[in-house]
Formats: sequence, structure tokens, C-alpha cells
Amino acid sequence: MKSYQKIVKVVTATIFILFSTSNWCCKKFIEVEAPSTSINQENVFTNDSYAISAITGIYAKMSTTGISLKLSVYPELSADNLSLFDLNNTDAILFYQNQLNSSSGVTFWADLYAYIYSTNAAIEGLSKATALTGNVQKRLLGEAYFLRGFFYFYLANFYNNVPLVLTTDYSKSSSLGVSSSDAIYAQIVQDLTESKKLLDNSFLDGTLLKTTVERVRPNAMSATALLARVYLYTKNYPKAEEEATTLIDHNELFTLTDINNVFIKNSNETIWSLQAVGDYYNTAEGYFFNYSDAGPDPFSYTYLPDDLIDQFEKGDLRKDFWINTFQKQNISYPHPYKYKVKEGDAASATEYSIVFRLAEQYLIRAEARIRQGNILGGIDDLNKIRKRARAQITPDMPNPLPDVISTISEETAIDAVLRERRTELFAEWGNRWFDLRRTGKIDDVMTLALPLKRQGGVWKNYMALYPIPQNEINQSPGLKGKQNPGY
Amino acid sequence: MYKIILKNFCVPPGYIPKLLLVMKLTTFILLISLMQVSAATFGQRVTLKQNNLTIDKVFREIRKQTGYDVLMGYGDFKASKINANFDNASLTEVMDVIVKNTGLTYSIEEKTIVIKRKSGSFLDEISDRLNAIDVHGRVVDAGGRGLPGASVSVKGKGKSVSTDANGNFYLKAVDEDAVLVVSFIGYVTQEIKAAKELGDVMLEVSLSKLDEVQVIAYGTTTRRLSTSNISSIKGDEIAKQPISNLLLGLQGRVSGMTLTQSSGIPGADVKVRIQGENSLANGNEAFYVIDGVPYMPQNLYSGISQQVMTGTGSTLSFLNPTDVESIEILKDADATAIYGSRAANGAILITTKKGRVGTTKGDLNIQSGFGEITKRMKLLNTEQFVQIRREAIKNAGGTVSATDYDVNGTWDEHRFTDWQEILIGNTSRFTNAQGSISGGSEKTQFLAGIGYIRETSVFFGDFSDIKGNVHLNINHKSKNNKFNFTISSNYLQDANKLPTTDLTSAAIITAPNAPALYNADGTVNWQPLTSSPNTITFTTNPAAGLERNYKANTSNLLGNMVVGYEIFPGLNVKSNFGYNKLETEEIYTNPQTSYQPTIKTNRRSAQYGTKKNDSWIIEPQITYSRKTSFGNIDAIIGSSFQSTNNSVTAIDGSNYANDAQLENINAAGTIVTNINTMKSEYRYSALFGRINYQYLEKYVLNLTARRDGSSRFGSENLFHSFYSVGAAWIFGDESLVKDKLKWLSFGKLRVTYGTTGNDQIPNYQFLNLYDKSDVGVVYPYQQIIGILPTGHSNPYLQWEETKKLNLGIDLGFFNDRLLTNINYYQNRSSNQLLSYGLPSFTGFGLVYQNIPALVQNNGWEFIVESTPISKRNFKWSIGANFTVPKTILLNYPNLEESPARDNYIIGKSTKIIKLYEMNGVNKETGFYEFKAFDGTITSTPSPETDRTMVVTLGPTMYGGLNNSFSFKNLELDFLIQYVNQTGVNYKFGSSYPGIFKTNQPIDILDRWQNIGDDKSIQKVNSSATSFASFNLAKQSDAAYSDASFLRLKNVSFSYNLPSKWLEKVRIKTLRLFIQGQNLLTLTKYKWGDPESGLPSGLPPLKVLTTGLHLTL
Repeated sequence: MKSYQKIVKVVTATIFILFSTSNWCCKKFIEVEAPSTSINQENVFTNDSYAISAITGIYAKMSTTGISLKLSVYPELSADNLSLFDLNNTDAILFYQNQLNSSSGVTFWADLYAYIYSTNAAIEGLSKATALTGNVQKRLLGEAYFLRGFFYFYLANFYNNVPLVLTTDYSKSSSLGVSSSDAIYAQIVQDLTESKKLLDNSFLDGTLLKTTVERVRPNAMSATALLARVYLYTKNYPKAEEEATTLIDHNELFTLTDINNVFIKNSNETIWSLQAVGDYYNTAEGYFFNYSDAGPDPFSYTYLPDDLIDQFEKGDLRKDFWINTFQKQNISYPHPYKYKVKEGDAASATEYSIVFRLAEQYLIRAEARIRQGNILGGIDDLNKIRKRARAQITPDMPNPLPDVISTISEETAIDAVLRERRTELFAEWGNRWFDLRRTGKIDDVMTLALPLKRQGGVWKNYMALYPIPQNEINQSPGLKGKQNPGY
Repeated sequence: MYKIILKNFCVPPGYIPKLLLVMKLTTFILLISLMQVSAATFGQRVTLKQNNLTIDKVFREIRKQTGYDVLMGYGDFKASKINANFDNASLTEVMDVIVKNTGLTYSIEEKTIVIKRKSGSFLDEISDRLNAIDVHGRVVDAGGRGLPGASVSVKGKGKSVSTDANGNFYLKAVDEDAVLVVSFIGYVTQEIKAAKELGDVMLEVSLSKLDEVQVIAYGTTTRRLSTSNISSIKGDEIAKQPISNLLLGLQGRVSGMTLTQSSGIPGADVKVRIQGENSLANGNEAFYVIDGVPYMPQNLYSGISQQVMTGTGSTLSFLNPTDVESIEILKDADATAIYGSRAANGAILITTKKGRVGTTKGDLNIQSGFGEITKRMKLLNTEQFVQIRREAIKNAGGTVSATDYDVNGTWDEHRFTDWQEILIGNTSRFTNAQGSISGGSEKTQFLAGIGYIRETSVFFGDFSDIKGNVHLNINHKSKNNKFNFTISSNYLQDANKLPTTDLTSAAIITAPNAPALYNADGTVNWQPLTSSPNTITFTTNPAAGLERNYKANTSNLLGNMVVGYEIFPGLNVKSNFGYNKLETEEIYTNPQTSYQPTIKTNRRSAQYGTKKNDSWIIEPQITYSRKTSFGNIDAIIGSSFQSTNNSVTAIDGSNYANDAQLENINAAGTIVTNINTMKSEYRYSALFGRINYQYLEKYVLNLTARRDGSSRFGSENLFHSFYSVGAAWIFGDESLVKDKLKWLSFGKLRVTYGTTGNDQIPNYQFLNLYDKSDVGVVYPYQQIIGILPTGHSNPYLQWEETKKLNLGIDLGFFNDRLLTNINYYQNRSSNQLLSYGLPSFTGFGLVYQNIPALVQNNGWEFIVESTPISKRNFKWSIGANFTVPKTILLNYPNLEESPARDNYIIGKSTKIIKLYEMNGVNKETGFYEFKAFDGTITSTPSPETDRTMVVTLGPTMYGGLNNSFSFKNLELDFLIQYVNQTGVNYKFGSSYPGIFKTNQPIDILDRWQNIGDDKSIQKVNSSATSFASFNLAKQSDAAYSDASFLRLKNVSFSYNLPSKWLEKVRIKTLRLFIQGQNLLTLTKYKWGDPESGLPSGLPPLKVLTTGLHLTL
């Protein structure tokens, strides 16, 4: 009997000990360290190499998915800067004929927010990181802030009021509503200012320790360039002028290059560009805008409208060097020819897709100066751009692309700048669409332009904004009733 | 033979023969003495079968058969009648039946049976007390070894004890007339009259299948007492099959389980599903345990093997099938809940062979044979092919072009090659040689084995899979039997050399008039144009693929040790220690010779992969078992700690100077190291317990609980509990049943219910993972491999849970000569881990989370086993199993709004496919037409609304029929497998019929040609205008057909040489045998082998071998 009691005691004690200790001891046991190869939020910002990869991955994705092209073609189609050749392209035609609806297939929404997630993850990780080389950490954080500002800039310009997501925690962000575009812009300015503080003016290589001639990582100048644009868009003209001036004054880094060399990789005009990474083209723009031997087709489906061609004055080299024309069945198809390389291996790339370039800064400063009453200064900047595009004087053309005279009204001067923006920046990053929107000229221009694109089409003001995808509204309580008006 | 074996011993010559002789003598003497024992007991046995027999006559018969007289004075009793049904029954059994319900009792004194009235009086009680004796005895097995833990009880009194470690027992105050019942799992229960010194009570091993030991999770049981739904396959059955992956040996033999061989390539994946698929999106693999050590059934992913295997390869092919003692398939919750979160898809327990007590014996088993593919597809011959091609070009409105080499005169239009014959029609060789030595004393047993399996391929070329392995097992008990340990280890090395692609596809699509594979000088024949030597015409020459090789060298070490100690009788502590290391090195070589000579750039490349799986487990346990008068209790409590480290390193080399150096990574000009490089850790811990309670060996209750923690889940849900309840009622032993249903020798009802989980999700799903952003990136951005987050993490991830209900009835008829077993199961799996929608402004539009989608698997399993004839010289036994499974999606929240709506319908199987309804070929246009949802006929159905036909894939019924005959020294076994299923057919051809150079099945001949034709295939066309229509046809119901089959899965025929011949050469047994696998298949399915349902994959092989098995 005694041994029986003993057994019972031993068993009870064992069971008790096992159960009472199992939860904490087992919890310790089964909590595993993040793996060193499968990279994750926990370990990505614990060493320089992964941390650099995490930011570089964003550039690589921008380059390989041709974000430059997407952000160039669709808004240009929406505006009056591109015509659609292939009317069977069910995605492009909705942009072209200003008939987007909330269930349209192509949207920038998810793409841009995915980039923003990456930047948020990087900002969260880098802010907490303790094991990174100081300069590397600072630099990456600066790049991350810059990128977040960059992507929000496009969101705000396509959709106006959007959710302001600054965290990777979906349990917090999924219930967000929309923030006003003012708030979005405030965030952009804050991010870019922070970024400028963290970055310097050097172009660095992949180690972030050595400088390079490759202008493929944003630096403080990229943040400055975007800030100048943001201030211009938000009508803070003194600041816009200030930022643009900073850039223009850095003439040891940036100069207006010969018209033929602007889009050559790492040209002196380049503030920031995306490196070529693929094996069949240099830039997505070069691959898309340039036709194959057969001319425009379902793959290269745009051409430049007459209205744009007409904007080029006599002796404007940009018309000769940046536009090429293909004759197909006796019809001319002019197309952007800024990037000359259609197909080519990135290893021997001669062109990179330029995100920011100096010419835009001159135009920003020109506009900012004029808006502040400094018409003389503004026209001076404008003429620098025109000078670069000016053909040689020939007997046939004694006065090619003349300087704009400075004794004009502010309004005329602004119109001159806007026209110059059109001829200088066409087919680049949706500039025309945004210019029309921000200057309030969109209704006048599009009322005339839309019927040319869609017979009987009537422009409505709401079309100036793109619709928020309906799926997105369905998924999120915060977006209910927040669709852009008209959709 | 004798001499060869001797050389393996490291002992002086001359010693061993003597030893063997002594051993043989001992065995002989032992046998003789055993025979005497059984002769002595034989005299007390009665066989009598007659209904309506008077007691008087019964007693006379007893006297005749046993010599025992009966003394009695109750005349009227003599005339009463009984139905006698005694088959070799003991005297006490007979007497028990006779006096039952009569108010009489009996005693056996000397050679006389005394019948008297049952005494209920005080005096009788006193006399009983006075007659009480203390009984001592020892329970032994046939070899005279004590059986510890056997139960000895006093019949009808409930008093019971267990034997100690040496088999001894001591029962106090037992009535002198009492009958003792001695029982032990796996042995025939024996009744014996009480006596002070009983001496050795020998129990015979039960021959009833019901008493075979059945391995269960953390223990053993028997079919008689089990509450669970478990299938057991013995190693003998596996050994009868010429296979190199033991899983293939289970095909057709297990109810409730489907096994699909994905390909006939050695080492390829085997898809095993127990009671259907529970998880919609995650793993449906069973949980594998080899000798107590969890085992990963699929190799790791390196991206290198994918092209030739259909997956990462089955790691069960890295365990020698010959080393298997038994395989248990655990299906219901009762059997599997103790494995908690890992056993939702069932568990497969593999037990390897152990040493046994007895003289040292040597075993040698050698077989060799050949194999070829089971089935070939009927394809167009050259004449038909050329005709179709010309017609297609004509229909496209074109003319034969300069690049239509097959029909423009470049290739010989009369040349014919049966590419299936050339590329996959070869004969593979199968060689299997196994040797082992085993034996041991009562305290220590050992087994040492060595094996070799070589399998060549049916592919053109020199490819083979070679395995060599050793197996070692030692069991030891201390002198007092309190301490014991077992150590087992298996080591296998496998070298598998294969082409990098499965040639079956090329064999089917290569044009029948394509030129020869090779030039006269042995180089790949690209057949350049004579007019323009830089233009090659045979661009798809399959020989190019043969230049590229895949080699995998795998080593697999499995080790386990069990150490146990008995603290008190019935209370044991023990612990399992297990270790598994599986390592595969792969090389994929891509020489320049595999490219057209016109390509001048250096395209040489090679990939090197190293895959490692390192896993250990420790499972301390306490077991307690006690037999009391109010029932038997068996309890176990234990904990489990497991850690698995996986790593994959894959390296891509290029820019080699020449082809010969491809296997040398140092010769690579460029190395990229991080293709699919991966490292992961998986940790797992658990606490588990089980209590098994048996009352009167008729009522069994089994309770299991487990609490599991797994590193795969989020910090908020690391732990989860699982439980099960199982109960069995062995109603066949109830006296009412025993009396009324004499033909029913066994009857058991079972019901079990419980929960299990599935943690087969990738590791680290709860972490924010980053992945290479390398899609389209050929030249890394600033030479940095970019990485990007891949999705949201979810710290709330938890287990998919399966609730399992199992109802079973087991019946035995005619002394268990016919056994049936019926199970109904219903498994409901909820908490499915699926991607679920989020607003995409959160970063990603999906998050991986548990949603309450509900999948039900239910079905019936039937098993019948019988031995219709069991004569001395002739025995026939038969076993059949049959399963009718069903899978239904019961619930899926917001299915209509989820992309999953294309794949699922609530209330239908989860294995459906939505298809267009084919309406045939339009007689006017020659294009396919389909029935739209509203019944209208259209050639452009809408994918949203018109996919109205729902076809369910996967088996709807399956089973197997096994027959064994033995006649004198001959033995014949065969297994027939049956599967009822629908599979994708190949009727609409490969790519688009009429397109350049791809051969087609003969079905294409039934094509539309002229207006008014009523045909099943649309007009052939070499231009893109017909592509859309062909694609639609492949997504129509007509592209699916009955893929049921009946297969002669296995045949084994053997002859045992008469022992009198063998004695002279001192051989114990010598068996010659012929074995065959997949010998014959009956099916309506016309396109290749119906099993895998992939016409482009290598079918399973049919293999025929001959061999011999020698025992020394």
C-alpha cells in the first residue's frame, strides 16, 4: 500500500511539474530566431548589406517594372500630349478618352502604396536599427524618406485625397480614412526636408561608402528637386525658387547639356535616374515609344498628336532630336525619341531613365519667379532652356527659336513657361496632366482636346482626378463614401 | 554459401561451425520438449460439434476423448440438452459451458470431474476458505522466456495480478477449484486449474490476426483492443514487391489512403493522402514517424531538381524497403490526436526491423529483373502526321514555307521513328541485394543488415539510381529486467543520375519524321540545311536535353535510441532520442553541346545545390500500467522537444572554359550564389498524455490530450491544445452474443472523436519576409541584389484544425477466419489558412490568415480478410479493402467576392474544376462550339458565366484485392488495385494540332475537313486563328474522361526448397521467387497511364524480377 501511495505521489508531482513548467519553458524553446537567409523585418536592418538591399530593391523594382513609363504614358494619354494608336487597348483607351471608372483595370493605387509600404518598412527598421554603420543608416533613412515623399506626390496628384499610411501594421492602417491633399503635401514636405538633412550631395555606389559617376541613387539634390516641384505645386513660390536655385547653383554637378546628350546615362543634366537592369532594353521609355520596323503596333501603341507637334517653334531642335516620325500607309506617326535605344542589353546600356533633370528646375524657377513678379528673372531662366534647344542660324532660318522677350505680362509669361514645359517635358512623368490640373487650365484645354480623342466626348471637371478603385472601397470601411466625386 | 558468411565473422575459423551446431542442437531439444508439452495438454482437449446433444452423451464423449470420468448424482440434469460447439476446447471450457446457468458447479480431481450443487451456505464458504491456496507460477512464451506484464486472474472472481519482470506471479487465497485465466497481448489466452505450484504456464502466440501487435503512437496495442482506425502493413508484404520506395508498396493495400506515383522516375514524388485533403491551401501531407523520429516526406526545394522530378522528390525512397518491419497508417483522431498539430492529415508510422531472441541467423535476399513503362500513347504515324500538317497549312490559307522542314522536303517525308520506343521505351534493370545477420539472447538482441538497390532508367542513355545502406539494431535489458534500451540506426546513400528533363514529353511531341538524334560522330544532330549550314532544322532535338545531366547524391542517417527504466512494477520512465540528417547534393550541368552550334557565345552553366535537413527529437515519457479487479489502466504522459534545421545553398556557375569542367565549381568564370539559398529553423514542443482503460477486456476507453507549441505560428498563438476520446465495446464477448450468435467469434463497436491540427505552412509566415526583387533583373542594380517585403505578416496565425469523427464495427466470423472491418469517417477542417483581402493601401491586398472556411472529408472504408481454405498442404487467404471517399466544401466566407470563386463551389468537392460544356464542332465553320449558361450555342463562351460543367478530380472509389495461395512449398500472392477517377485526357493534342513539328494523338484524325462533317476535333490550322478555340476546348468537359483503372499491382510467386535437401548443405531455408509490379492495367483511359493523369510525365514502370532468399 505504501508503494502504491508513493507511485501516486510521484506521478502527481511529475504531472504537476510538467504542466506548470511546460508553457514557459516550451515557449522559450519554440521561439526561433529569424533565419539568416530568409530575410525579414527582424533581421533586414541588422546588417549593412541587407539594409542596402532593401532600399536598392525599390530602385530595382522601379526600373524593372518601368514605373517611369507607366507614370508617363497614362497621364499623358489623359491629357493632350499622347494619342492612342491601338484603339483595341482596353486599358489605355479609358485613360485616353477620359472614361476611367472605379473598376478600371489599370490603376496606380496599389502600385504606389506597395512602394510606400516598402519605404515605411525601411523607415521603421532603420529608425530602430542599432547595428548599422552610422553613415549607411543615415543615408538609407534619407533615401527612404525621399522615396516615401516621391510616391505620395504621385498619389496626391492622381487622386487628391488619399489615406496617409505611415506604418506597416495593417491592423492600424486598414481602418484609415482619407487625408486631404494638403495633409499629404505637408507630409511630403516633412519627409523631403528630413531626407535633405540626412543626405548629402554625393552620388554613391552600392556600398554607400564610395562615390561613383552613376547617378542612380537619390541624394540631397533629388530631395531638393522634388521639394522645388512640391512648393511650385503648392504655390509656395519663394520656397520653390529657393530650392530650384540650390540645384541650379550646383553647376559643378549639374549643367544643361547638349540636346543630344540629355538622356545619355549619367549626363550632367541628370539629378536622379534609374539604372538599366534588364537584358533587352535600356529604358522602358526607349523600348515603348520607339517603334519596331513595322511602326506603331499593339506593343508600341502611342504617337504624338498634331497639337503637340504644332507647339514646337521653328528652329526648335527638340522637335528634330527628341521626336522621330514613322510613315505608315501615308500617315505620319511622330513619337517621342528622347531615348534612342529600343532594344539593348543593360550591361552595355547607354541610357538610363531620368527621373529628375536640371531643365525642369529652370522651368520651376522661371515659373516661381514670374509668380512672384520677377518676370525678368523668370524669362531669363526660360530662355536658358530655349537657348539649349535652338538650332543653328541658317539662311533659311535666320531666327530659330528666339528668346522670349521679358517685357510681357505675368499671364503671358506663365503661358510661355507652360508651353515650354510642354515642349521640354513631354512624355516624361505625367508633367502635362499635372500642369493642367494645378494651373486650373484643365477644363479649358480638355474641353477642346477630348472631342478630338473621343467623338462627341464632353469633358467634365471630375475627370481631372482618377477614381479610387472600387475594390479598395469595398475592402475598407474608411473609404466608404470617399470616392472622388463624379465616379 | 556457408563459407561466405563465415568470412564476415571476425572469429577464428572452426569456432563458428561448432557454435552453430550447438545452437541447432539446442533448438532441436527445445522443440522436442515443446512438442511433449503440447502432447500432454492435447489429452485434455475436446472437439465436439453437434446440436441438441444430451449432457449424458457429452460426458461420454469427454471420457472417450480425454479419459476423464464424470461423477454426478443429478439425474434430470443428465437428460438436459445443449448445443455443443467445441473446437479443441479445454476441459474446463467445456465444463464451464455445461454447468452454465444450471446452479451446478464442478471440480476436477485427479482424472475425475465431480459435479455438485453450487454451495451458497455459510458452511460452504468456510470450506472454500479452508480450501484456499496460494498459487505461484510463471508465465512463459514458447521459448521458455518469462512474459512480464501478463495478466493472471481468477475466473469469475475478478481477482487479478500481473506477472513481474521474469514472468512470475503470486496469487493469494485462491479457491482450490478455481480456474485461472492467463492472458497476454498477442498470445492465446489460457485457462488453468489452480494449484500451489503451477510451474511454467506456456502461452502460445496467437495466430489470430486480431492479436497481432499493432504499433500506435507512443505504444502498442492489438486489433482486438484498439479503439482506433488503423491499418497495418507488414514488412513481408512490402518485401514481396520489387520497389525502391517503400510508399509504393502500400498502393492498393490500405483503406482510406490514396497513393499516386507522380512519375516513374526513380525518387520522384509520391502523393499520399489519408482520408482526403483537409487543407485548401496548405500541406496535406501525412505525418511520418520512423521508429519514433518524425521524418520529412518531401525533400527541400532548391529549384534544381524541379525540372526532372515533378516536385522535390520523395525522401521515403531514402529508406530501404527491406528494413521495414511494419507500417501503420493512423487515420482517426483517437490514433492521431496524440500527435496534435501535425496529424490532421493522418500519420504513417514506420517501424524498422529489430533483432529477435534466437539463434544467430543469416539472411540473404537477392533479386534482379527489368522494367518498362506501363503504357504508351497512340500517336500519328508519319503519313498521318504529314497529311495533318499539309491540311493545317492549307486551312490557314498559306503555303508550305521555307521553315516547314517537316513537310517541305528538308526532312525525309517517309522516315518514321517511334520516339516513345527510342526515348522512354528502354528496359530498365532492377537489382536488389540484401543481407542481414540477427539473433540474440534473452537480454540482448541484435540485427545488422546491409543492402544495395540499383535501378536504371527507361530513358535513352545511361541513367541510374543506386542505393546502398546499412541497418543496425541492438536491444538490451539489464539482468533484473528493469533497465532496457534499444538503439537503431539506418544509413543510406543514394546516387541518382537522371536527364534534366523528363523525356516523356519529347517522346510524345517530336515529329515522327524528325531526323536521327545523333550524327555519325556522336554529336547532337541539329540537321542543318545543306544550302545554309548556319540554319538548323531540328531545333527541338531531345538529345540536347540528354546532354544536360542531373545528379543527386543523398545521404540519410536515421538514428534513434530508447532508454527505459522500471521504477516499480507498472511504472516506467523512458525517453526517445532521435536524430535524422538528410543531405542531398545536386548538380545540374548544361554543356555547350546542348546548344545549337550556331550559338557561339558561351552558354555553359551548372547549378550546384546542397540541401540539408537536420532534426533531433527528445521525448521523455512516463508510462503506468496496472491491472486491477475494476479494470486495466494504461497511462502515458510525455513531452516532446523537436528542432529541425533546414538549409539550402544553391549556386549558379557560368562562363566555363569547357564542358568537361562543369562539375567543378572552381572552373566557373561567374558564380552567383544566392539562387534559392535558404536557412530555416523549426522548433516544436509538446506535452501529451493518454489514458487507456479496459474493463473485463470488453469495454475500452481511450482518452488523449496534447498541448502543442510550434515556431511556425505567430507570437500571439504559439500554443494550442488537442484532444480525443475513443471508446470500444467488444460486444462479441458478451455472454448473450456468445450464446446466441455462435458463428460470430468477434464483434467490436468503436466510436472516436477528437481534434487534430495542421501546421504544414511554410516557416516564418508570421514574419515580415523580404524576397529578392529580381524579376526581370539581369544586371543587379549597382551590383546589389535588391530585396522587397513580400507581404503582410500575421502574428495571429494559428493552426488549421480538423475535427475527426470515426465510427467503426469490427466483426469476426467462424473463429475469426473471416474478419470484417467497416469504418465511417467524417473529418471537418476549419480555421483554414488562406490569403484574405485587405485594402491594398495597407501595402498588400492580402494577408495570410485563418478564416472559417470549412472542408469536410467523409467516407466509408471496408475491409474483409478471410482464410477460406486452411489445410495442411493448401492455404488460401484473401484480403480486400474498399473506400468511398467524399470531399465537400461546406463553407467559405465571401466566396463570391474572392478570387477563389473560380475554383470552388460551396457544397461541392474542393477538387472540382469548372469547365465549358462542349457542344462539338460546328458543321459549317469547323470550329468548336460550347453551350452557354442559357443554353445558347457559342464559339466564344464567357469565363465568368459559361463554365457550367463541374468535374470532380481525384478518386471517388478505390480499393484493393489481395490473394495468397500456398500449396506445399509453393506460394502465390497477387494484389489487384482499383481506382475510380476522372482525369484530364489528351484528346485535343499537344499545343495546337497542325503546328510545326509537334506530333499528336490519333484522336486528331477525327478532325473536321469539309462543310457538313460531324467530327469531334475542329479543323486543323497552322495559324493563330484557331488557337483560342483549341484553348477553350481544353477547358471544356470534353477534355476530361474516365481515368479509372484496374491494375494487377503485384504478383509474387515463390518456391521453398524442401528442407531435407537443404539440411545437407546446412541451409535453413532457400526460397526462389518471381516478383512483378504493375504487370497489367485495365482501363478505358487511352492516353498513357491513368494513374498520374499527366500524359507528359513518365508513367509508372512495370517491373519483373527473379530472386532467391536464403536463410542460414
